[in-house]
Amino acid sequence: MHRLILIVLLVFCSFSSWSSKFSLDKFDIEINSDFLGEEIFLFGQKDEDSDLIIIFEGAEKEGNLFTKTKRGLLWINEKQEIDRIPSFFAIFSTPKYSLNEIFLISSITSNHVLIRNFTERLYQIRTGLKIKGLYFENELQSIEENLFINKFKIPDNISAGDIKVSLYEIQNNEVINIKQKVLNIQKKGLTSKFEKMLEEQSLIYTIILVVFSIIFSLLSNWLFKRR
Amino acid sequence: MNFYLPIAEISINIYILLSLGVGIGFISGLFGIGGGFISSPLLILVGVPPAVAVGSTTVQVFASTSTGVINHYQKRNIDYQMGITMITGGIFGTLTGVLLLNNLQNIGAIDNYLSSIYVLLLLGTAIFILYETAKVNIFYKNKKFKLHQHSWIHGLPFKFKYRKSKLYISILAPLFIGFGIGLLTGFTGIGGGFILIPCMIYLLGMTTISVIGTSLFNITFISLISLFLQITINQNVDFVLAIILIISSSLGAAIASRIVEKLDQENLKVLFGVLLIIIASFLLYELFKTPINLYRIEYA
Repeated sequence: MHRLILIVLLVFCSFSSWSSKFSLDKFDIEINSDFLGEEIFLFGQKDEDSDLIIIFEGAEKEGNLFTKTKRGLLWINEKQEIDRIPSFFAIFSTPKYSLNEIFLISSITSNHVLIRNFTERLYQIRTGLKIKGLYFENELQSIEENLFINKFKIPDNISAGDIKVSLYEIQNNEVINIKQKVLNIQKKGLTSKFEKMLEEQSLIYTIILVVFSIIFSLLSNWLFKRR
Repeated sequence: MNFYLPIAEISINIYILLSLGVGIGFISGLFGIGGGFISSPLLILVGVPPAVAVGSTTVQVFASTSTGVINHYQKRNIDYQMGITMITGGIFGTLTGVLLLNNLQNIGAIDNYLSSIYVLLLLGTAIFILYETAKVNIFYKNKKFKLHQHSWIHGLPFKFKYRKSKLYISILAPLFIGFGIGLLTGFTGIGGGFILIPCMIYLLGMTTISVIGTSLFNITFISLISLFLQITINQNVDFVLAIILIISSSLGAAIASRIVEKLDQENLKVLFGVLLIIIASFLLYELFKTPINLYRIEYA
């Protein structure tokens, strides 16, 4: 797979001018019952004189941030309701940009809620997402001159929805070019059907579970009685 | 080999899950219990979100008790008057339990409360089992016990005649017991048979012949109501997890039923008590240890 991507990458670059561009080896991910996360190849080329920052940002959802605080002997969760939490967030850069350096480029931070400012709350959200494998920062791996390729994993706890991928070309701390693509994540098959049924037809969901429970219990009882 | 649980939204090793189910079924088969009070805490320990562990355990409890009810119905061992009284109390208890679980999940305190309750239940049951075993074998060897003793419960108002159990007691007692068991089922996912049976024998004074059938009748209906409420209100029942649990625990129970007669019952009870203490210790450790991660995100 890695070799194939390299060939695609070389072909991809040989027919084009030396402007920065990127692609992914897939733009659609299906969450099925055998979904264990998905490996993605991010590859492309960069202009020699520019730096690159590529940001993956999942669809924003409402959620809660729980902070553990010690009260007496026990660790208690303190809850904060958050309106907008991306379902996934990853930053790739070349050369490696720290988050503090990215904070200085307002035309990037203003586009992404999770890196909008230095606040403690955003730090806590990023840490919470990092623990779930839904946030990370990586350096883009250069392979030949201005080509880069990175392999990373979309974890199995990812929610369905679009992930917006934005490429920022930077010179002297100014964004000179932006390119965007979308990585689509959908729940399919039985997984999606069960979830829909649980949300919309709870009575049928209950009946199916009850019928299955009774049939299987009777069957196992009968099988072991016969022997 | 990992397997994706769609409602829990995690992937989990199928062998861990199957061993867990077989183990729970095996213990259920050996001791004639539903096994919910072991499966919920164990599922939480292997990484299943607490609310999903509670919801999915309810299905397993229903599956393990429903066939028992059919058997006891055929043997006419069910006191329907008593069962219906307890189920009436149980409906309100279950609703309260499910709403309590929902509320605690919303404020993020579910893991602490659930773990604390499981620790109390597991330790309480372990102490009770070990004490009873010691009482019969060491302290009062060869002495007879009187099961039915009159207590303040028999002085409560609104008395009703339960013909099958030959009891004339206040309707309030089985109503409150039903409420308590329903609360426990709704909140923790367990069937509560290990609490209900001693209550029926020692508090209500029921005869042992109808106790098992009536308790199974009560647990089956309450777990069914709880299952519906969990699905409707909390949406925390994972179909895949529930099915794996039902299949593996049935297998475990069947294995246990083949070897149970070859094992020494008193030693088994001690072993069971020790096992409960070990599970409780793990949960206790999780409650008090300094967390590795201070921040957690949960999507609405």
